[in-house]
Amino acid sequence: MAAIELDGVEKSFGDVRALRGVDLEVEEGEIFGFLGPNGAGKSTTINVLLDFVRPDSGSVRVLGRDAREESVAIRTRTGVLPEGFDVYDRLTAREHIAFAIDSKEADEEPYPVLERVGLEDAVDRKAGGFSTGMRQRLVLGMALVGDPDLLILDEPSSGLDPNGARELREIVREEANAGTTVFFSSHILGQVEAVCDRVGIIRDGSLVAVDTIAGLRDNLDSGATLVVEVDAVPDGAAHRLKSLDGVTDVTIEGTTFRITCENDVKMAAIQELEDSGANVSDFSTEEAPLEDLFAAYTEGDR
Amino acid sequence: MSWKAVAEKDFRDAIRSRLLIVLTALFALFAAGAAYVVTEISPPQQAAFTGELTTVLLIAGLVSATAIFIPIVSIAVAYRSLAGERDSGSLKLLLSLPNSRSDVILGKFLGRAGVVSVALFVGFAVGIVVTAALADAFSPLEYIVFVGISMLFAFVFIAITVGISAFTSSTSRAAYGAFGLFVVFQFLWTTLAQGIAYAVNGFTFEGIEEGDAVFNLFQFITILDPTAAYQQGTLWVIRQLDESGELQEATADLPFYLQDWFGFVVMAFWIIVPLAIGYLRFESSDL
Repeated sequence: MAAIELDGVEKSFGDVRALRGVDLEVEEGEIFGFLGPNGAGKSTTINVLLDFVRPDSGSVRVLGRDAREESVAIRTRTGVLPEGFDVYDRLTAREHIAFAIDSKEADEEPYPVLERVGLEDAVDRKAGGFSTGMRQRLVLGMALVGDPDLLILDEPSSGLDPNGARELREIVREEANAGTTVFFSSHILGQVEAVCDRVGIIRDGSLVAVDTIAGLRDNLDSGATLVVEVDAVPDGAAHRLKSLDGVTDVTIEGTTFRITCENDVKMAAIQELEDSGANVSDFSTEEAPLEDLFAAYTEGDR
Repeated sequence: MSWKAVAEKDFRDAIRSRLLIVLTALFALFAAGAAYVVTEISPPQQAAFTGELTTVLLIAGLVSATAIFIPIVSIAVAYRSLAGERDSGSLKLLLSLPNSRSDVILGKFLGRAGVVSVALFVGFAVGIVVTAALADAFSPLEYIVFVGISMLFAFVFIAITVGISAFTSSTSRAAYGAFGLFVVFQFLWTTLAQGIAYAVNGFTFEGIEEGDAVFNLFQFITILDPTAAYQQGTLWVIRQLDESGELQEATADLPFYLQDWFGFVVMAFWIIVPLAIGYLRFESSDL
């Protein structure tokens, strides 16, 4: 059974088409990164999963249940960190967690949950005085109540300092190791790369790719940059390299060549350098930066 | 059953509002002041006639004042109930948890009803002290019954305001809407009823006589006003409790909707219908 199944989901707000036929399947137990620029339809997709927003057409199933008809049953087994939420300023951290426990009819104590999300020093403080990061931790705590089968985290890293973001990743991994499916949205690929098994990229209301990070690189064939260290730069070497099939760019800094090429022409490029009279002392490959990869999927005319 | 969780959370949250503390203090002052005015300055006519001020007469004097004050307190307690959570985004938190939208509406109503009960209870508790000191023949039972009916009336305006609050994400619109409806009930309803009677009668008041269909319609519409219903319901109970029989009227021959007990039916209507309409709207809308 898939944890999340979207089939041909469309949703318009007025004349803005927020979702244009989204098909997506998230397997049970995986950590799925849901990526896209702001306004691409990430939050609308999540809102559809939670029955906050009703799709115009298409079917949505979460944990094997219909998102519209059985929303309460779904949310009983789901922990959510929504985007653009607010806490109850006049209630304490403990009261927030207690509310989640009561709503989920779980058999838990608030304190261990607060300890887990690093709020053990703020248990009886009112949430109105919390920083953005603390509010984020508090709501993450509410999401973790009742040992959910699915965690939906909408832009969870916003507002967290690097330390908080690392702790969040640890919690996500712990939950996933315990069998929980994690659906994690972000507009920054770097944030999801470290934890996600697979990612989906949404753009203008359509999914443009669903794959592993490695798969995304291969598909795009953005290739890699080959960095070659030589003793001396032979005349015409750059020209000879560029004439090879599959080489797109060559730059030279001192005695270092940076060759942008497809993966299977790397050896040919090194051979070509040696043939032109250079002694190769060292070489390495650099993968395309994640931002470039993300940009390739979400910008320009594809 | 998570409406219980919602109601409890909402009660804890709203009871800590500063506005509520101010309103409760105001209400306590009001209850004490009104009891004083009714007993010492302008006692009801019967009291002047018989020379004795009973609790019943005091209540008869108080009810016209509470009919204005209670709706204002109730609107202030409830107008942010849903619109405020929607505006701030905490509604997403509420609905991320396994609460259905009906749990939210019911829980909100009960939570805010609890809050207004506390406010009224404190206010009336102050009032009871003043009343006991000033009334010639103080009856706790009559006073407590009056407090109970007043709370029911407060729940009417809580239900109406929660229902309106379910329609919008703007707290000011929710406040204007609820307050506007209060003004209609309080000041314009009779005119409205007259207007309807006028229109039904062929745009004239001529020929309308007590007992004919148009007059009955007018009376029926008049009694649908929750404020009128509250006053009527209070009078009914007072008459039931009044052993002396001085206040008894011959109402047995009147149609059912003119019987004083019908005030309770009207109040129940104004609790259930606004909540139902608010729920239907809330259920069908995107957040």
